[in-house]
Amino acid sequence: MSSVQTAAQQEEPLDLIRYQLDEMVFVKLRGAREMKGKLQGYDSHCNMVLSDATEFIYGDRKEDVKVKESEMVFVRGDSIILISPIEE
Amino acid sequence: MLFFSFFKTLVDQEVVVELKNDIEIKGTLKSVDQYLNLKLDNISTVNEEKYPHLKAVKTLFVRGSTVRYVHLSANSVDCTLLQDASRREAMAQAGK
Amino acid sequence: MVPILWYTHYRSSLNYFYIMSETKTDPTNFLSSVIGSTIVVKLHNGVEYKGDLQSIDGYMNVVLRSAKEYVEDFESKSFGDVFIRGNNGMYTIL
Repeated sequence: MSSVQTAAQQEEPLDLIRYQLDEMVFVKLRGAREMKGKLQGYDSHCNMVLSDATEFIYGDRKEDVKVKESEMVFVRGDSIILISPIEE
Repeated sequence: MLFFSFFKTLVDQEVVVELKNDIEIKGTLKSVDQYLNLKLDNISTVNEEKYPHLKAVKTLFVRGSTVRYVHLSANSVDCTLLQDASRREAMAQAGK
Repeated sequence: MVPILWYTHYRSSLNYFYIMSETKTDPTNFLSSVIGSTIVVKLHNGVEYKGDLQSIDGYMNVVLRSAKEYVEDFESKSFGDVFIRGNNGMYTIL
């Protein structure tokens, strides 16, 4: 009984993502890619939709960065490495 | 199931699907299933000079697992609805 | 005599299993007992993240607070909070 209660009270990692809905997030992806955008939706697989997103694709040297913009993009969760809030 | 429902609302819209092998395909979303496999109609490859092998193809079935991004138009998405649905899905997951 | 002996033996082995199941912890149980301490998570790509463990779930997704990213032992980035998707983790150091 008590274990059920603590399980419900316990903060889950995905809660951090829920708090970021409608906020800017930084996402690191496989294939030397990063993305910044406003989080509009997510699920437990870390599939997500970002609005006004900017993608940064890094080349062999950290200097050559390709930047791509997208007004609305769905990102498949299996490419995601980490997610972090962007502090202003 | 959230994004399955989400993509169902996007049927008949124009989308750009970017695959994990860098191919980008523009087309009309015709159907979607629970794995987020996609059926696209009237397709064209965005970077055709690099990937010319889809020139003759009109309709495409894309396995969900090969997708990296799906680019959408901003006005085809109800952001408030999607945010609320995400919160509801999180609640449902926590209840399990 | 023999059945009684067998019986006591049986009882004590049951006790033994009972104690075992009390003390046995699975990896996530173990990690949740360690919430709040500083850990290092190393990913398959070799990058390491060091921070205070805030939460962890069954997929081994973790949230680290005041985390630093280390690429080849050099600090490359710092985050206030960071969610790391479980499938990328290789191991966790306490």
